[in-house]
Amino acid sequence: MSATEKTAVGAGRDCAVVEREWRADGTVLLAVSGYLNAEGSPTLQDKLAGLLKQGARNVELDCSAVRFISSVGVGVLIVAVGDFRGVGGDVVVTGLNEELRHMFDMLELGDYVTLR
Amino acid sequence: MILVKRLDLETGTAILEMHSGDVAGGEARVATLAESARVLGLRAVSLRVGGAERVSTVAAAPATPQAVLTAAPAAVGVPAHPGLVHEAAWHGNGVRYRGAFPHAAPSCHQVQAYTELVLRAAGVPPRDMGLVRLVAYELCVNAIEHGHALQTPATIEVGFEITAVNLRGWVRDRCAAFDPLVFPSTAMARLVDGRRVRGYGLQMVRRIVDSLQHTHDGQGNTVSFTKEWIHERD
Repeated sequence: MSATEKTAVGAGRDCAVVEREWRADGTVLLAVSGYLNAEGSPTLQDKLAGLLKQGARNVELDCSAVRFISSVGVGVLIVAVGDFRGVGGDVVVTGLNEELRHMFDMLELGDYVTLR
Repeated sequence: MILVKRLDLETGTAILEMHSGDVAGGEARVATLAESARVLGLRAVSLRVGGAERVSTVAAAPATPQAVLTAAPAAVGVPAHPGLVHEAAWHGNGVRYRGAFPHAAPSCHQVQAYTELVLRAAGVPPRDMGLVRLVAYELCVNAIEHGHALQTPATIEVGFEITAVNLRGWVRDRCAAFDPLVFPSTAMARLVDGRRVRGYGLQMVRRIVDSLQHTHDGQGNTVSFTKEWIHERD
């Protein structure tokens, strides 16, 4: 598939997820923006579940445009990591801003979610 | 430090008052408030410098905060919050903010935006601000999901007292007694093993704050917390 941005899903009020690239090795690059809170997180949850069903094995989440992650957003990431690791893949989170990176570090979420 | 003196949601305007000092620095900080103001439905920001006599509206050139704040609500269709009441006052060595919102789920998103707005205006560094924003949001979610309102319309209040040393925050509802802190703290690893999407909130709050307590005075619950600053403030 093309390396260009091609599919936009869940562009709701709180969270948008854009599929940027689907590589031949089953790695999908997603760009997430907005708020991963109780309202926004299901958009990402549904997208990740759909990708798993379609055969994706690794997901790289570009979170550079994410402004807030609540406990539900963390929960969605943790469950997705478990699902993808269960099929031999992983979910890698990239681009967290200073504020969110510090939150992940303080809560030691890097023990459960791969950060880059 | 900038004090968010008044949020006027009738006109969609925030009035920020600088306690002292640098107008240019203040305007730069106002620029960073745009997204929080958008969530709160604001359309303009006025910067008041050195008291009531000198009021300066941030210039409306295309790249200025005012332009951003004016354009954003219409562009994304975010309505002004219907019930926010905001108070701010200097106290002791710091400043006290209090915002009251309708007791409804959408208010949690507004609470985190409000928290960002006032903490950023107060010069709290992003790292500390992010943690406090998360705490306020999670306590608000908890209060609304578990609260049984004692009056209609019910409100939920979030407040902060910010000094150079620490922050004291609280979330207060008008609900029957419910103490979220009586529930045992579940280790993060156990939650992860259970593959749960929900249930992390209070555990995360406990790991962030320095103290956490619940009281009920017959009219509502107050969950209050303190957080020592771990990064130097502006």
